[in-house]
Amino acid sequence: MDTLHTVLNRGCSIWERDSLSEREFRVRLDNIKAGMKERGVDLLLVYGDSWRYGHLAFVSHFIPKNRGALAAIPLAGEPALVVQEPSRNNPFSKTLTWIDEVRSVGQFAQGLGDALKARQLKPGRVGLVSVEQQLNIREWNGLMKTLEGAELSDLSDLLISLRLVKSAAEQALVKKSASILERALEFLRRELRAGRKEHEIAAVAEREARRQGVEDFRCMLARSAEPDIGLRPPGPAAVDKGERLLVAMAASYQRYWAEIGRTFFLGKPSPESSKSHDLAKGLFRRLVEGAKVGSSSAVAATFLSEVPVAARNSLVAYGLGNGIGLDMSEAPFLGREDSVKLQPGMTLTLRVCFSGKECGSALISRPFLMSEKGLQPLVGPVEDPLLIEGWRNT
Amino acid sequence: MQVNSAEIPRPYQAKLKSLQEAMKKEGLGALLFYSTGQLSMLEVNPVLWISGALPMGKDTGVLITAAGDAAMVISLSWDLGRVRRQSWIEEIRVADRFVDAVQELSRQKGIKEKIGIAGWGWMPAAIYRGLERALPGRVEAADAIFQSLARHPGREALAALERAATIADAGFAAILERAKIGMPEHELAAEVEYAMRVQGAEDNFGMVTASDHSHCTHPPGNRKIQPGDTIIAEITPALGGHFVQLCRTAVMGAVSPLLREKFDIMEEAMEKSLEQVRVGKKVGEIARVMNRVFTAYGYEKYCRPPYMRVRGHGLGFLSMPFPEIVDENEAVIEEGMCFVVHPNQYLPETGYLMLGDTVWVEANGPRRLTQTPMKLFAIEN
Repeated sequence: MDTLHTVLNRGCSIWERDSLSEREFRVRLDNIKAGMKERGVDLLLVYGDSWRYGHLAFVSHFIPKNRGALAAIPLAGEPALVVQEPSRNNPFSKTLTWIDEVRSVGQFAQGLGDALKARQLKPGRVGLVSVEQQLNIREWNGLMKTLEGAELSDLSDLLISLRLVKSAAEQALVKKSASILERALEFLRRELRAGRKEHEIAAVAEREARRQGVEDFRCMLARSAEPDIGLRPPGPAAVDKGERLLVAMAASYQRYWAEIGRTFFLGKPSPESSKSHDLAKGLFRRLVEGAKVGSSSAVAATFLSEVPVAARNSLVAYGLGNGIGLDMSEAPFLGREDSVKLQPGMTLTLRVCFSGKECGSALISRPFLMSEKGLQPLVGPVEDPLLIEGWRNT
Repeated sequence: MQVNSAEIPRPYQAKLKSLQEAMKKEGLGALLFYSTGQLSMLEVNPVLWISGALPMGKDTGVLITAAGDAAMVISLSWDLGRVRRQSWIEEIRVADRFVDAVQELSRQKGIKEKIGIAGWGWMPAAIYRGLERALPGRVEAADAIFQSLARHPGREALAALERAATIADAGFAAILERAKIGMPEHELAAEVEYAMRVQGAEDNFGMVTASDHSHCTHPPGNRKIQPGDTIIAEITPALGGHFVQLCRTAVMGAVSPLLREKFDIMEEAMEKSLEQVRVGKKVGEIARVMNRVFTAYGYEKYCRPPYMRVRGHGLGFLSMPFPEIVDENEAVIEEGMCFVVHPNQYLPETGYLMLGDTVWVEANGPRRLTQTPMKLFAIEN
């Protein structure tokens, strides 16, 4: 799910080699090179920025903190990483990646040109991943001059396919993020009181997540008191008795994201609130039942046609779920046309979220690992709403 | 949709008037304000500046025609309510295919002339090239138009800036109160974040680093704080689309005579550079004075890359007086500008040290927005 981006990925920024070894990256590199060879590509460029870095992190483990970085992978020889940053940041950047050659530059064309020169490489066919889609036009124009004469082809599908199934190490990192989020959500629950401001409540959850070492943290909420407004960042308004609060959180630990979402009833729920949540719970159960090894990501949402139109539109807008890992939202996308077979080793967020005047509101979002036996939840149950009792003014 | 100008909030009325004049002068039929979901502290966000809504999702744009029509394109349908609440723009469309949506808007609004793009510098190549194909020969960069109008936050922003400054002070106070020997760096950063978030900070360009010899500041790791460590902090909370930055240094334990001596140079550089913050002076003089101080103590080499380069900068989202305080900056300081001045410096004997404050330029000189004393702090615990 999309959230408001931050100006700096400022949480715990490390590479723990015990969690993700260089060997893992070497295996990925071998697979990427096999794909390059098959497609006749002699150089692959993979771009990522501080907002969307999944493909870049997959090849490098690097995460741009506030700008962008470009991995250059020649078919023969070692890759280079070109980072747009002041040169004094270079030693720190090197701690975040297994790639030895890290070039800190003002412009990507300069860094790429130097990397190619050092390899005496004039590529004839260049594969691109997230370069045209994310790199700004000014930098793109510079790169095109550097690559003049080369034939370009988009290789995004190669990286997407390699990232679908997670290794054991990746699964462990997603699980770690999920467990931190579960704990953060519990801290948020303890903090909910009448009169507490939204940002005060969210701050408690964020502090706990950051204490546990997350690299990034996001929190969004929606309130039944303002049915026209969907999930949004917390603001200065105070929560009130009788409200229904939807809370969505996401956090990344060493680049790997997890997402969790839950509905809170602040005091006794109204019949309308209960009805909305019962609908959500039923849909979530069917979503889980439909997500099986070998089934298509599109099939997972066959029940949609039975859902009232207002809720259905909202469900589709928020998304019924997706892969989660180096991106908060990545392939496969449940309920979409771009059908992918669900496989063991995929890590998934399943989500039922709707909000609006005509459909009420509810949120259930939970991370899972797809195994041969079916979906294995990575956190405890979140399907039931949390009733905040003993309501009192602060 | 033709907007009734009387219903538009006054600051936006003024912006629209200026934009219409600029479009007329440049022969443009419209301006397209564009933003991806990536946000930067070092840029004015074109969409926020013109609409009042911070963009969320992959592509967001606002089209302002020469006649003063306004229409907005967002990518997340569930975000429509938030955008409607924050923005004065009535016509808001949800589109998954941004280029198609702009092409359709251009057709519906009968735009025949060129469309200037505000936010061109950040526009992904695929979007720009798509617009070139959809509107052949009719799109061009127009960053300069809106950047020239966004150099001052405006006096109406002062309350938010002062509040952000108070929040920045609270962030640094958290370091003094919470830093403990053995505490992982990221836990200390979490306390700083909490102290500011709980007071309403909407974002933070914040880095907290503890080391016996830092080469620069960077986001925290899991290193545990040691006795004698120097903690350097760059704290930059945002409120209402405005940022305030505070840079400070603290030592775990007693301050050594060597560090005291070197930090005196930082204080001298800060004091002398602030004397250059005067209406009518050139921005580059701030950097030159700062560099002269360090050079006088034998650190000329360390005033250049890879050690140092920038001596302060504008703070973005809603205004940006100029990008960087560097020797070569010929921009002239004006009343009402807001920027950070920081003689942050790597010194070979001590490592990287930080000192800096955000200033609001008044007729008679700079007004520091934060209250944290400009000194070296010692944390005894």
